[in-house]
Amino acid sequence: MGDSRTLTNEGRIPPMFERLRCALVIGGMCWLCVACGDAPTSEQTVDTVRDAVAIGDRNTALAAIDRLEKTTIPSPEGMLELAGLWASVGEPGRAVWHLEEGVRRFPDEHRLRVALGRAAMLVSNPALAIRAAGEVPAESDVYLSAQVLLGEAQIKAGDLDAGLETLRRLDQSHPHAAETALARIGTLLAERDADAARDELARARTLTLSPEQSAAADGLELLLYRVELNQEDASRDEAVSALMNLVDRRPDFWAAWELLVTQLATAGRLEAARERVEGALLANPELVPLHALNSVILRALGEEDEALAAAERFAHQAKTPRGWAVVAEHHQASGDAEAMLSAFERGLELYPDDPGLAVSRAESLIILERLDEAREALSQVPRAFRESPKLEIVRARVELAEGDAAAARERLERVVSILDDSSAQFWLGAALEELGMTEGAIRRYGLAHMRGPLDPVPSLALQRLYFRNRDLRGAAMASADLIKVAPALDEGWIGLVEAQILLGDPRAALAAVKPLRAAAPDRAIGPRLSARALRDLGRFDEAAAALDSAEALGADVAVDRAVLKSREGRHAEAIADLTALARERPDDAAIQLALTKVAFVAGDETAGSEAADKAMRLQPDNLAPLRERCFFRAAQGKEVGVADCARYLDAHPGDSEAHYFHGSLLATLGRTTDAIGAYRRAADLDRSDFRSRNNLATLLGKVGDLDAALDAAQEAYALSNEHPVVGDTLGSLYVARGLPARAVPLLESAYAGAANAEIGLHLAEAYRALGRQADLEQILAAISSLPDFGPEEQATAEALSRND
Amino acid sequence: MTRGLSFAAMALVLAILGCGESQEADTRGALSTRLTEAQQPHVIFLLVDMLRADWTTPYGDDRGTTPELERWAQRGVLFEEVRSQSSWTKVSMASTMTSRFPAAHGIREATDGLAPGAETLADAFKSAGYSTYGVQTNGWLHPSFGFDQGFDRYSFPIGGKQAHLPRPSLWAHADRVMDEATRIVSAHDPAEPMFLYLHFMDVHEFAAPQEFQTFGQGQEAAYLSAIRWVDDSIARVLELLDDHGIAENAVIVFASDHGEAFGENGLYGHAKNVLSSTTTVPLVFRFPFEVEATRVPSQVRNIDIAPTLLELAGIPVPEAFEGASLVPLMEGATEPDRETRASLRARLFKDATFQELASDGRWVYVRDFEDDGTPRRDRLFDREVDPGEYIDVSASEPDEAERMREILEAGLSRKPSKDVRETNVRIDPGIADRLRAMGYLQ
Repeated sequence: MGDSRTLTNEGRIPPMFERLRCALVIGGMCWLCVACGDAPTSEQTVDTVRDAVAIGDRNTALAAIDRLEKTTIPSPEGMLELAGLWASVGEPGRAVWHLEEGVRRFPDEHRLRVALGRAAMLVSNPALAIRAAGEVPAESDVYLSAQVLLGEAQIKAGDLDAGLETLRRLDQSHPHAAETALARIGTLLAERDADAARDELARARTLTLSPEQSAAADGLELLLYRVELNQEDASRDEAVSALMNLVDRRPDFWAAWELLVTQLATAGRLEAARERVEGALLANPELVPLHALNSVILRALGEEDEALAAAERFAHQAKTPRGWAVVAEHHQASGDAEAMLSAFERGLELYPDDPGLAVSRAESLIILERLDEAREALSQVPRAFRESPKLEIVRARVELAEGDAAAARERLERVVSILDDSSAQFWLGAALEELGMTEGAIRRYGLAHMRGPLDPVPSLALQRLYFRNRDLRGAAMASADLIKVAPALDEGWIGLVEAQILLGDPRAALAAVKPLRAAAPDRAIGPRLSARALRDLGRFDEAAAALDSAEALGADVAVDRAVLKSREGRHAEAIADLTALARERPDDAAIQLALTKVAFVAGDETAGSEAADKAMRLQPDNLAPLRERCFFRAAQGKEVGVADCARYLDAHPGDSEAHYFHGSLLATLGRTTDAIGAYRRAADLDRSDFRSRNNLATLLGKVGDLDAALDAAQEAYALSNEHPVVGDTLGSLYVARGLPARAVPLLESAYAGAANAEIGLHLAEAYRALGRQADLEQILAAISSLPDFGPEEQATAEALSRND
Repeated sequence: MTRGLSFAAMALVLAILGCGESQEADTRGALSTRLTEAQQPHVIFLLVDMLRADWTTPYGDDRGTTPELERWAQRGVLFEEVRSQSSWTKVSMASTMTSRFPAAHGIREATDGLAPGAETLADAFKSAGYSTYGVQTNGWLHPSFGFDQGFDRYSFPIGGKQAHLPRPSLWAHADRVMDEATRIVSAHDPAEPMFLYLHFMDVHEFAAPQEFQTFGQGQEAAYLSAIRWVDDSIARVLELLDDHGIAENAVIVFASDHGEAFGENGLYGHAKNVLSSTTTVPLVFRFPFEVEATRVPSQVRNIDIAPTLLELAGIPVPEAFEGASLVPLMEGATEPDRETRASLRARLFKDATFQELASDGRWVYVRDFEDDGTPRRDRLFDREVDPGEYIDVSASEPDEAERMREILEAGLSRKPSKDVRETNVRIDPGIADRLRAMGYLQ
């Protein structure tokens, strides 16, 4: 260390300071050790990521990987592991950057190049993958993998021939290398070339496969069967037979079992599925997951007790939280919410830290409306997952159940930006619906349906809202979706027929019911809906016969019969029947609603109005009777109808047709500005509505907004160019705009379609503007004998004739 | 002295020299000189998929959708009447990147792509020594369709498929585009010229973070929110470029490939016809120096973007390019409306109509076709009276109809340039799945 008396400008350090420095260094190392102790290991990170993924908590997963990346000293193995983690949470782009850095740091570690190429493929950058693969020299022990990657990248870049050729060449140079064969099989399956893939698979099985390669081959085999089953000429029997061989060979291949059972179920061979599964279990009791599958089969066979027993066996033997979820699913399918809750609670006793079970328990409590307990249950979820998006959804559901839709909405809007799945979108839709934001709710339910197309619940919600908005096309679409995924539900069929009829296509409605009647002849809903369509087609006898069939199957068709009478013109009978029914069942709102409609059709405002009021007293949330009254009074030009329409539209602002009737009534009453607003709203809501556009154009023309009037009239004409009124409106606006040449053909056509004095005068004006005197005089002469040619029209004609 | 500094110094000199002259002449003269003196500026091409011009602030929307774009327009050049060459991304971007009308590049089917020999904007920049980067997010522009040619790096930053993790969209959103752009810009030497193309799909996806969803709840509201979000994203792009010393020498162009119908002509969506609602797009140029806000009223085309960018960069424009540079218009030249054409000949949706269009600005001539290519009907629209293109006036305007018909047919009679179009391109199965989920490829 040197003489303590000689110091410092030459950089000599005194012993005291040296001791201090040593202490600092040692202290620093201790601190580093402490810090190292807090740094996550890769095993911990993998566990954290897995758990976070299980409950959709992407942020926790990303943060964990980020932390690992920052605290790990780079090494080839470490970089590969991190890249794998990034890719596993759906961030292959970050894996690419990471591996590019890796290749720069460790240029001789060619496995990093192969990994980079694989990550590049995930971000659809085959050019980068080709480059990375091309940099791996032939003497490298990963050369074969690189060449396989090259072939796949060439295919992804669009050159199928070159890619397959690369793989074929590899196969020739490395005939015993399973890797190339498996890569080629994967490519052929991606191209849906099942025949070639099958041949290649058979050949690959003759090679020596490592356990991983064997498992990969099994996976490809399963994929092959899926591809084959999806083909048009699929032979299910062959596929089932092949799948049976596969599970015999690989009894622990759960995905293969699932596909086999699904196919047997589709073919109506559930007993065969049961036999197969139970046989396998008998031969090998270690195949524990098969108990869960067997539970589903037994439930489908209607053997509830055995199904429960199988689920319980799985739960006890599987020794994972998932086991109790299976038991709970069984109870949920049986509609027993209490038992479902109990299953989750039993699972939590064994696995108190499992976030999935905790969340599911909370959801069960919400279903049972035990909201305080639900809140408590959420607070008991392990801390690491307490802010996870799936928990947030459950919290929002609690808020919704408590009536705080605004809070639920706020929470769920945050969630959907992180976890955009069917559940998040659906519950946000529910919150918006509760808040009266129908348009937003429709959008969210639509997104929920897109995210989870097999779940009927969003389609049910959509159907409901579309009908509320009188968006009949939307309602028809949602109903059709519902029928696809849940044909056993009546709502889909009812909605589709109703929507088709209201769209003015009872023929389509009748056709829509046919498959139902063929598949389920013992369901009363079929003939009942047929009757509805037949009635609108004017085929009254057939409609009556259909109602007889429905009644024979147990349906109550008294109201339907009365409405049928009304459609036949037997209004008095219909009203009498419904009045009598109402006396028998004074609390039946449906009868009052039917009476409302029938009475208004008969022109009986008093009876109709009374029935409307009664219906709304019985069902305050259903304003359909008010709609009927609004329409009736609008058609009659009655000022009292304004309040009806306004009140209805307040609750149903998306009803385009109601806005139209409201507009018509306001226009009749001379309230032009309000009428313009109403017609605009109707037009905005229904892009196919030519009536609102035409009427809007007329009013805008009257108030002098010629450009806007022309826009509306042109749009109306494009939607319905055969309607004389529409042609007349546009024609007269063209004249006003100084385009008489364009007006003439429109007005001539309109006049030909509906000769009246008004159209004739518009045509005369156009002729005058063009200097076509002879035509002018001819049309004036023609209209002078029309019944609607009155003094006012005469004065106009004279002025035109004089060229005023 | 770095290029950036010399540029700034030149600008300062010009500003001093310009003192005392009239504002308008000063601006125009300065712009021309500045543009001429700019040597190899960075060129940043921001493309927002499915953005209709009339729902952005500088194009008259008063809902506050694009304040950043408005700022760019206030200090740059905005073209008021811009027409894309299709209402479908693949055809439109093929036209934009090759500066060819659809008849010339020939791409029309889902399985068509750009052949390796097609000369693209990126090729031209690369040949001139630019580093070329593309961050794109639309499956129709996948490398297998040849749109990556000319790019040193062409990223498609889609997330991976994870069953339990959210898949918030079919295509990557602006934050992923920004991540990738940040990496690219950070790694790039600002002293070297770059061509950076960023393609945003958020508007196409009606996607925006919660804090941008302030326009209501329905589908239109979601579209507006997405526009607002992308506007915020371009502000962040500018910030990124600024932080890395790129902005001070960058020409930025903001454009779209097509619009979106919300009920016009009875249709929703795009790729169903080529009428105005789906082919009227924004085009704004932002320069590293401020210019007096310039609005060019004449009709121009997306095929004019490529020659413009090349001229701004001082790079010769390939002969095959059919578009014409917009620089003269930026400098105050007056021109009549440029003739445009648009085409849609692929049935991507059941309610689509095969259609060809020619327009001289006021008059629009449209021909509909049957699926087998047989002409079905012709129509003439007068946009002066009927901007919505609803009423066929060919009967009452026979002379104009004849003139426009000839223009349309002259365009249709062109044979596609050889080596531009590749047919029967294999669609990557992963991409095909996503396209199907969007409703395409039914």
